[in-house]
Amino acid sequence: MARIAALAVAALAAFQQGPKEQLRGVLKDTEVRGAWIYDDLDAGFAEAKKSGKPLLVVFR
Amino acid sequence: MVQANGIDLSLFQFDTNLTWAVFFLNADRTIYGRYGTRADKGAVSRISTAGFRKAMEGALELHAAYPGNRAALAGKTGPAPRAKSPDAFPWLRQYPPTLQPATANKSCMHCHELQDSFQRVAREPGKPLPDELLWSWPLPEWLGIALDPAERATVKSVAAGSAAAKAGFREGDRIVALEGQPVISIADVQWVLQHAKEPGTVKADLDRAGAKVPATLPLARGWRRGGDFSWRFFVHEAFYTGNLRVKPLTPEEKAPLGLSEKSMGLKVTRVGWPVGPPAEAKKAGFLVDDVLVEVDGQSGAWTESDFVAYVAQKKRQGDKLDIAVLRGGKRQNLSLPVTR
Repeated sequence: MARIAALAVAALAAFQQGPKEQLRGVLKDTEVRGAWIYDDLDAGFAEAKKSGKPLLVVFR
Repeated sequence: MVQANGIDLSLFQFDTNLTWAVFFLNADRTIYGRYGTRADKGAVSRISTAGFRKAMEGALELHAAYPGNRAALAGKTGPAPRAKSPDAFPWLRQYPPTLQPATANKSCMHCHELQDSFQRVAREPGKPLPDELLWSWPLPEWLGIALDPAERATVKSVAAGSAAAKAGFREGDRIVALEGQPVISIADVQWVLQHAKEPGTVKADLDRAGAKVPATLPLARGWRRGGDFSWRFFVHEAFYTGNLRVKPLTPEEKAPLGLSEKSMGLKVTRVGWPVGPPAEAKKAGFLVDDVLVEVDGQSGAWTESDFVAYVAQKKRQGDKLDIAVLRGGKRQNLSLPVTR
């Protein structure tokens, strides 16, 4: 029963994760946190405009 | 950004054979600079943490001076591309516009497929590939300038007798601007060289121990052709040579075969490709360790880049290459169809 509950919780968590977080998990990009905006160029430009700071875009 | 699916090619123009590439931008999409260079000596031989830090510092300086330097930065945005996004190429429409987590491994477009696509479009009408699509993103070393990967566009050495030497470049010079564009990295130098006219000149502003020094780099016709592009993915895939990969023999390796230094001596290192066609080299009877000594009557000391360029620029799909190889000490003639 406990195992089933744990699986259900995990499934719900995955369902609630947005696609970017799911992608981060699939690609194992767990170290890409903090100031990084993950795989979202529009959000990057929006933050640069809001903050007045330049944008660093890394393709990999 | 972990994907090139749906990438805006009107903004992001760069050497897509890199495993890691950087843009520094203003929020209004003005490009301050690029970082990330790859060369024949490995994926990281031209980049470093120290150099990246200095490039970032340069980008911050440009940002601080913006928009007063807007005109100088305009050239860092490329011309309108042939394709604004990858889906303009029919063969890339298999990839969704954004990466899907459930199928990430299969739905991820590889960046190198962009360069491959530009080549394919240029090749399809049966025309020779232009130099800028083969010897693309030229290294400054092709003009005699070795830049220090740990510094900001700073000359480490100048090859004697090179175009850079004739232009007056010296060790220790920092390249401040090329053609009026501020330069903060090797990638920025490559950007200007990639778009420079040939034959032509590139105007340089140098900082020599605090003094401003102008220089003019001459670009002779065919100046790119001494460079090596054999590390690029399209050569690894051997599209033009029917999946035949070769490696030039050293003079010491040539001698026992009776080949002079100036003779062709291209040793076959791969025939065929495990994932599928083209397999023309295999069907044509080439074997690993064969040594190419003549191609269509030409027997000069070619590199692999020379061989691929010959096919891509002098032959068309459907043509055949008459190739003589040494196998077991004996000369044998083989015919290789050109499949792309």
